[in-house]
Amino acid sequence: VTTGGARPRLVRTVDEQGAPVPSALLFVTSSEVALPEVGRRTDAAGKTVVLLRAGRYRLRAGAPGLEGTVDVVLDDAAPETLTVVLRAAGRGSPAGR
Amino acid sequence: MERKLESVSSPKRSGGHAGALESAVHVRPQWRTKGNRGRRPSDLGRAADRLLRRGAGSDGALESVIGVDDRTRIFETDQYPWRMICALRIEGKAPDGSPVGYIGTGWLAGPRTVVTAGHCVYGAEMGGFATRIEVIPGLDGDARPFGSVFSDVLRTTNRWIEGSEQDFDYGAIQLSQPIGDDLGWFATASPPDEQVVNKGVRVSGYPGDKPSPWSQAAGTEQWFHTNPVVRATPRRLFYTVDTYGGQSGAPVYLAQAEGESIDPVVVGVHAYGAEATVAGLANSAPRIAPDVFQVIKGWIEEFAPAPPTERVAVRS
Repeated sequence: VTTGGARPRLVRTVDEQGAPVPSALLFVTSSEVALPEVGRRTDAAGKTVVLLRAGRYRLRAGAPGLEGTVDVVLDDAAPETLTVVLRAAGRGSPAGR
Repeated sequence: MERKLESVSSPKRSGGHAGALESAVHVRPQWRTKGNRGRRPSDLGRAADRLLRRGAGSDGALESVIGVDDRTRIFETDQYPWRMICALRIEGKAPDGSPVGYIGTGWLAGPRTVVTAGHCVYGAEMGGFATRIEVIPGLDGDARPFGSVFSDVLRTTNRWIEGSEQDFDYGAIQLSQPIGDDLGWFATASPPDEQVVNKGVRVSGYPGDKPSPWSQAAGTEQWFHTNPVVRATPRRLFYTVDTYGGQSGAPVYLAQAEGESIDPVVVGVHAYGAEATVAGLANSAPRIAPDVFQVIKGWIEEFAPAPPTERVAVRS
């Protein structure tokens, strides 16, 4: 499936032990591409699908008490699955306050 | 001081349909819709700006909050005009059949019509049209002052469906209940460049980073910000208003200056986070161009019986 050059990427939200974090809110931003300003909920298995083309992105996710941010650069060789590790909010994350 | 907006009607100052007969002799022009304050009389005489509270700053690290976070929380979401802005809980199915969910924003444009971004009602990621959308007017944390309504019919443009064209990324949620009769609805207009460029616009909606992304209440508070339109094309508006994920579909409406009393008039549908423009980093909206106006007007009329003014005018 491609849409305007974008490819589907599976995004997983997990905790520090690698366990899925369900119903996390995911935000995808980019300084290069105008992206829809929705918040995405991961499913019961901590997964969602985002259509992204090659470029630089920030994925920020949050769930009650947890947060995580990852910056990624995607090209055609980039993996189809992206993972955001959520840690205790306000600790050990670039976006934590 | 009244601002002159050529494509906008005088707002209705009384509640509900009161006063409708006095305007029955006027033929409604085709290029504007008329806002409706709804039936709740408690709004009258209240200055919306007094209802605002200053928000705390954020890290500003994400690009759609441009520079310092200047957003302001709305506490009185059961009041006009904030109650006409709705949190959206969107459900769909990914191409593999697994459930997907999104949060967004919409705004009442008619008795049964909530306008939002096209990608809130249709997208490849959600396998086409959303399977269900819960519309929550005036949501404020745990409080749902007007309950919620589920989508009945969804609408968007062919150019969004077929080509994912950002300029045509707008849509509508048609409701089974005419909640706009009680809550009111926004006027919509397609004013020329000189009436929007360098003018202040407001974007008010439900950002997912408030009160924090890691809060159970994320996306349940209404926040707004005002800043100028820095660039306009025939189909897009670019502005430095701070926004965040979850505000897709929010109304971009002309802001009142100090002392002005005009009602809000929507000129765009917020849809995209920051991108570089010739005027700098800016968030953007499909613009209510004249043809967009006609499409939205058609959606409103599709699901709304003609108001009393028009019925009387037709009989005469």
